[in-house]
Amino acid sequence: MTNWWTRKPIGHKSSRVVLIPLLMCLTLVVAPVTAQTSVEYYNGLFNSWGIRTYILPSQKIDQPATKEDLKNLFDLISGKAEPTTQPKEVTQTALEEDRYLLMLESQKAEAQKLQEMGSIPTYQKIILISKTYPQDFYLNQSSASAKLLADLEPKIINTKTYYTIPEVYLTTPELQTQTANYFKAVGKAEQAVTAKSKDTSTTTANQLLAKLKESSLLESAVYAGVILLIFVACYRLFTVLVHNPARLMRKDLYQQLLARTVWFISKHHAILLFGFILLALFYIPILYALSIKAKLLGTPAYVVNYITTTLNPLTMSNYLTSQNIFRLGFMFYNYVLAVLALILLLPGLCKVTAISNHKFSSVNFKASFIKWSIPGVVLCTIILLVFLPVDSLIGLLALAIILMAGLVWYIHARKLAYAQLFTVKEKRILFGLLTLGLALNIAWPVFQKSRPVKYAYEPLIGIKDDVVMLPYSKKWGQNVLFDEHYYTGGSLIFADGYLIYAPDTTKIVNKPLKEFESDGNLATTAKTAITFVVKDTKKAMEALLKKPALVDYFKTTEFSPVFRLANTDSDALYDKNLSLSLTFNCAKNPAPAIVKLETISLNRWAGGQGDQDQQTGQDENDKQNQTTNQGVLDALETQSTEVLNFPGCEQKLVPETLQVPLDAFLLPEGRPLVRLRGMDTKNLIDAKLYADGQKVPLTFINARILDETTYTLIYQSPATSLSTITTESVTDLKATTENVKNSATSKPKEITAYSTEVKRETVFDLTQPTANNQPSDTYPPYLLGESAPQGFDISSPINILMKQGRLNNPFIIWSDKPNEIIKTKD
Amino acid sequence: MPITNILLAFLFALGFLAFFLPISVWTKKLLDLEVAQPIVALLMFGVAVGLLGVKTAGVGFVYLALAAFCLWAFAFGFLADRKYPYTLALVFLGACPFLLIAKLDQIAEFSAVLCYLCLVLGVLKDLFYDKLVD
Repeated sequence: MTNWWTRKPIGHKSSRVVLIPLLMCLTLVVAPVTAQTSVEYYNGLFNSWGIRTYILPSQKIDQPATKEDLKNLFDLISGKAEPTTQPKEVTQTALEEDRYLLMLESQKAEAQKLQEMGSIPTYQKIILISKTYPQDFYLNQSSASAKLLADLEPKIINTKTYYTIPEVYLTTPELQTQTANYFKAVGKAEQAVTAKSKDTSTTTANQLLAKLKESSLLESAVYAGVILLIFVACYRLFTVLVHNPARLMRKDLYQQLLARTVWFISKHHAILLFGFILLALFYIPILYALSIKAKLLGTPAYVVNYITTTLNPLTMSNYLTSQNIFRLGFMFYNYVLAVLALILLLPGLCKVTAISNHKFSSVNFKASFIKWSIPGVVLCTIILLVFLPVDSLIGLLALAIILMAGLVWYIHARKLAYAQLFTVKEKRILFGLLTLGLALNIAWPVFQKSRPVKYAYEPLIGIKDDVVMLPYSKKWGQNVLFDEHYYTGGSLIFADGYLIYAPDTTKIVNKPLKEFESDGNLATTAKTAITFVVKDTKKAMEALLKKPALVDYFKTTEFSPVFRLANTDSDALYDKNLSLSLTFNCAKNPAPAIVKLETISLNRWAGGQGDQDQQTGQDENDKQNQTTNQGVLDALETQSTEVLNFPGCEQKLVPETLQVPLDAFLLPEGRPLVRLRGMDTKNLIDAKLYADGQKVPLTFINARILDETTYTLIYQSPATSLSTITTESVTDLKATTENVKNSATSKPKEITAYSTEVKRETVFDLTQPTANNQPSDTYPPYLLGESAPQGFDISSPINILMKQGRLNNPFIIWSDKPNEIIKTKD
Repeated sequence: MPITNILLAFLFALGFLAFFLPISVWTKKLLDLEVAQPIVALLMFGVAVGLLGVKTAGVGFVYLALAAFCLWAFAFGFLADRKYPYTLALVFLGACPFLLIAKLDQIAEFSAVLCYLCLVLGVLKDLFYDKLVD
């Protein structure tokens, strides 16, 4: 019997051997990846506006610029030059290259060197980018535009045209757009003049060709050509569509198409296989080179990682932007190899599929197998659904469904009288079991809830290593608690965002960060033992906005991309001339980027109005509205605006400072938080805000609140490390145990731990009875300075949190000190 | 209350019970259409598939596709000539020492697992084929 995949396709003519072109080249030169300098960035910018520019250094040419021209240039840079003539009519000389010389003001020294070498070419037009920040510059639309146009007007010195552009016009997004419009217009005007002046010098043929380019005849010919191309490419499909569209619904058309493909591949199998083997051979030197690199780097997994990351289609855009030709070539080489492999496998796959279909359609299962397999699978599934959640049964459910579907289809195809396979007794038993299973599904969860939960205990630190350090990630199953685990160190121990242990402490109160209350006296607060733990950036920012007193604990003297106004509200700046100065770190030569200013304030519609409400007071209705609104709406309102187009560094290793005007109305009322985005924070060194030329003090917020991957201990008051606190004084750190025992007012301390991860107040009483079961109002020996061999059982507060469902899965046990040992061999 | 579990249990039960109910008579009366019992059973399982897809945000369909492939592969191997799984097992077993010599330990381990699976398939076929298939 011949099958459709082995028959020659109907209507096939003997075809010529089509040699599939094989990719034989691999570019092995890795294009170096470099970031742009600012002058390169501006060069690209002007070129995109239709202004052809060249930048220093240039190649040595035959006609260097004259000394007089260079003197004029340097005088202009230093501000001494005055225009000697006013432009009457710009006469265009027939230059081969009508380009602008583009340079930065700071390239004066470089230009002088090049002058000595004779490497500055003849120029008619020059664009100078000046670092000077224009004074009295308002971003208000009308005055900014007028000032910009005035500044961009060129100066003519000895028939040479000089444009002096303040850099702020290119780095401020809004002003860059206006500058672009200006220079695009300049470019178009020049083309018009140039074209007009070239009219007489072109031949008749060139004129006609230029006319043809814009004629409707060419356009019509292009349309006709494209239609013809598509028709020719899909000729067969169109033939079927027009003459016999019903054939598209028939199986034999697609079978024939597949048969043709399979037949073609089978016929040219030898060539395709040869090509595949030849391409695959290239893998030998590639793998060899990668393995050598792996050895040099000392990373055994380098080869696999390199291949898997290269094959990831999502990374293609990265390779394109960084012009990594080798990676791109390797990626496409692998794809071609994969496609060839699929093509070679296709006939075999079709054959196997057809054989399996034949086998499945001709197999005859025994009646007993069919009879009992279905109820068996159904009952097993129902019983499992009683005790296990769906999430852990997905694979089994999928398998059961497919199996059942297959068996049911078999019954349907063979037209079996399935019900008649069972006796009455068997039916009754099966229905009874089914009913029991369904009843269990409904009743068991209810029964489970009413019973006390029986917990299984497992070790807290389950791994068998001799030494285990914090942080430690613990994954747990359902209804699991942990055995005792004693900690003898002197650090603070946290489980997720909860403080669970601190040395010499009787009580720990964990509270949500937004419930922080302070009398505003930092000195008093320093005497109380408090900690702040942050993981959720949004919640931290919400707490900072609602409780401004928190800023004193979250602030830092170093630069941070998150800051707020220190002494004044935004409202006071609305009538002032604002500018933002940013300093960039050029050590790693960062690429051009757009810096955005993001303002974060409380969402009025969510009911949170922060300190304003605290000052004015709230009545009960407002408070109720606040709680109902907060559940639905986002508590924070965020607005982002582009403020600076960073062009790249002028010089490597030298920090670059750029100043841009700022619209004061970007800052919402009050004291919002401001965040700089769009750039890696390592590339930003400093930010300053100026109002009418005067520096506005800023308070920088600890940048660690932006890290949402780990829990961060933002602040720990000095009192947390004291062994005792007396009501009288916190300075006497040498209080003896005798003093502690005898003093009526001194006692081991309590700590209040605020965290973004704590939803409700949780209190841990750390007093534990000693081995002799002394009453709990006497302090255990370890709190009184005596040594406690066992230490503190950190599992007990963790188990409390587990029972309340407060911990994540997995949860992290961590400490305020790095590399704290939680388990040793002893 | 685990509603999804209860619903799935009911759907499986209904899928089985569909064979014992006069479904075609009911559909004939109500819809003037004869629907075979296996079709109703398949419909129940189809609803179960939909429920699983919704509960797992679409990932369930990936599980179904993989389960279908695995079952197909197992059934195909089970119904094939018994020499094929044993020959494949020998090939994978023979490849192991060469892979180990070439220090491709992970691929050697994978080959050993494949050999084991082929042997299991062959043994299952030998033990159960005559009991399950006419």
